[in-house]
Amino acid sequence: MHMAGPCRFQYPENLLRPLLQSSNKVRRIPAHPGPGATARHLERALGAFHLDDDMTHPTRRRVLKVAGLMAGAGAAGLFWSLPHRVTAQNNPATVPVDDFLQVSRQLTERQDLSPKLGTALLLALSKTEKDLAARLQSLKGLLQAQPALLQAERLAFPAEQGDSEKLARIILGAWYDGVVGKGKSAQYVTYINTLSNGLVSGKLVPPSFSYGPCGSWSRQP
Amino acid sequence: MSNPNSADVVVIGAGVTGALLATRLAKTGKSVLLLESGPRMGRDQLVERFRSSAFKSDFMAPYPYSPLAPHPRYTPEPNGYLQQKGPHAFNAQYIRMFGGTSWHWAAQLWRYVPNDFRQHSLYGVGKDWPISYDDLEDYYYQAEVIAGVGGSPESGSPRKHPFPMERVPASWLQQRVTARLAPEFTVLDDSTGRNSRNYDGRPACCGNNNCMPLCPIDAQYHGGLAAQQAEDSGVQVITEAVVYRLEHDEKGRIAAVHYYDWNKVSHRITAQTFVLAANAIETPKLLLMSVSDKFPQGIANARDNVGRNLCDHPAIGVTFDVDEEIWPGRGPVSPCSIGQFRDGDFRAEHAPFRIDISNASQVASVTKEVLAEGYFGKRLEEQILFRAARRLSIKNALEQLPDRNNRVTLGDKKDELGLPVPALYWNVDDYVVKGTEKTRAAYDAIAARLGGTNIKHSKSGAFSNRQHITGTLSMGLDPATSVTDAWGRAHDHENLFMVGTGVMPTVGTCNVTLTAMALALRTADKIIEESRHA
Repeated sequence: MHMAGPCRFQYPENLLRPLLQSSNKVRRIPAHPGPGATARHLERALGAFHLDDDMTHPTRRRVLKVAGLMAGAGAAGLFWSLPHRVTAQNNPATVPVDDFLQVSRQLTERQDLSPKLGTALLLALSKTEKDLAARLQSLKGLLQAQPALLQAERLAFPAEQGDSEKLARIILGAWYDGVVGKGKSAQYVTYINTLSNGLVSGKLVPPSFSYGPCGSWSRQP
Repeated sequence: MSNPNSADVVVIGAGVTGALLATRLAKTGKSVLLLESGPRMGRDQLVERFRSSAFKSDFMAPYPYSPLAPHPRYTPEPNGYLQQKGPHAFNAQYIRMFGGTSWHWAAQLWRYVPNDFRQHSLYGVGKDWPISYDDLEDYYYQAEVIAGVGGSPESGSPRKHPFPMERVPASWLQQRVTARLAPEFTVLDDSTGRNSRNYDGRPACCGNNNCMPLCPIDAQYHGGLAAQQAEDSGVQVITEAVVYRLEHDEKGRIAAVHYYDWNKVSHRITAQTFVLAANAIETPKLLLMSVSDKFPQGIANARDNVGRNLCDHPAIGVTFDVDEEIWPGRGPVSPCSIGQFRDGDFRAEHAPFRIDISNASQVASVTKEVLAEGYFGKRLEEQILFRAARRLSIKNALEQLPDRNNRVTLGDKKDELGLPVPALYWNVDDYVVKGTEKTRAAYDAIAARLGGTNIKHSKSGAFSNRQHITGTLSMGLDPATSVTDAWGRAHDHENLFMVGTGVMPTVGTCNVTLTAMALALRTADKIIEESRHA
């Protein structure tokens, strides 16, 4: 599809652009995280997502502060080197990123999942899901022990594995929707890099990004 | 510069109608003070807030909120600002900020059809307006020029001049739906303030498909532009100024307004003329709060009409999957509609309506739907692709007749400044129910012509709001049944005017902002004319 135009993708996705993309074009996240930096850097950066729009408690200063941190950290290469394990907020146990990615690959039937985005999603999930480490291990073990569960058309785990099915749906929602948690706990993680937006990228751009010159949408997609 | 304590004209509410009126008055050399209860926020910041929001389907989510100038919010969870008293919740959305509620809209700028102004005379239902379509035609055009409106000339609203803007080219979806519904249904371009070319310093639409909640490039007109133009024209603006009382003199003329700043320091402003432009819910609230010994029911409310006749378009919707790929999400979100049910003798029996066809991207909604159905892996992606390519979403704009029992009153809860919240009573009558049945039959016929599957009607008996809030400050010739006269002047207060959708006696079958803009320009001219003669 031809969508070139003078105003294509005028805006960066969000304050995490240094993390998630390196230009103002929609790009898949680089595939390989580097070794090194701690989860705390990324977690602090994720704090910039939180949409606290109560005008009596302005957050702009905080956001700018975090953005400045991110810009500096990005320049130092910190965001291109991600943790291998994430410490869950409500559980001292750490969650191996590789385990999360392995389960995610099984659920999505995709081998091209971005480890960087996966790490960001895992960090967010660690804030919204209690006992994430143990639950993820249970889900991982279940899928290994009963691969037939993923031969069905839809998720339909046995009743006694209901919590694992619930976590599977949450993980899928994170990848495809870019948001984890609900209500006041909801956390935005990504927008243009959701799997659903990537899936339709041959036909559409994510809303708020430019499609192309006026009238370019008249052609058959 | 310190804030003034007097002006020739004080306008309360920096939405599109207040801003247009203020601009016109300022250009005649009047000192105009525009008071806005909410804050300022620029477009770029709002775009960032949209993109980083966890609630992108909530059009209110990107907009700033303060408990000091609260408005209804529905995410992360409802804030309960509106106290619901009736059988149907009136889930209003409006924005208290510089620029007002038309920050989030699809720039639908429609004229009423002429018979809307003579509803009671022609069909024996509802109300006649105190003015005719012809009285408003010139002002309609002035407002269209300001906003850069284009659309179909066959909308049923006669024009002396062509649209000032050429139509935005139709999306593939619109082309296919138009072709396949003809001749049973005639699909026409909507009337919108959306640029198909550079206009008034703003670019042409480039298909961001985000008209609601926010156009990222200002290719569509909105109240934020109007408010900025007012300030650029010499209007002095004070934001975070929450007007809580109108003060009158012994003759009933308004002498001053009192407002709290966000530190809850009270200020008093005097003027020759006062204009209320604080939307169809907040303006009645202010009038009802302004009680005195002389006006114990509130300003402009001696006959208990303020806040009554609350109307919106009680809407139902349908979604289904078309039997070919149409790919909603390319171009503007709301480009076309079916207008053949807007007028006719049937209006004596049931509500008229217009059918809006959405072109908004369905990716997010079908993704949630498919995930909820438990799909995963490749089948999940197949289902997202299938439905995102074919999903059509339709809703209606159906006319509700004015009913005195539907109303805005003061609630028993208070906000953080100690001001009462609005309480709303809203119901629908058989006229609406019958029109809704006709709408639903039309939906089924449309779905059939498009080979629709997976047809899902909205819940039977439930109505959503279209945010076309009218009637609560209704203009009319008889003070016994109206709040304002044909110029928007309060019947009992010579120097108090009201603008905005609240002064419109009936809601018609189209989005209401253009009519409110035209009326505001007309009211401005009346104020100017009277001041010259004074």
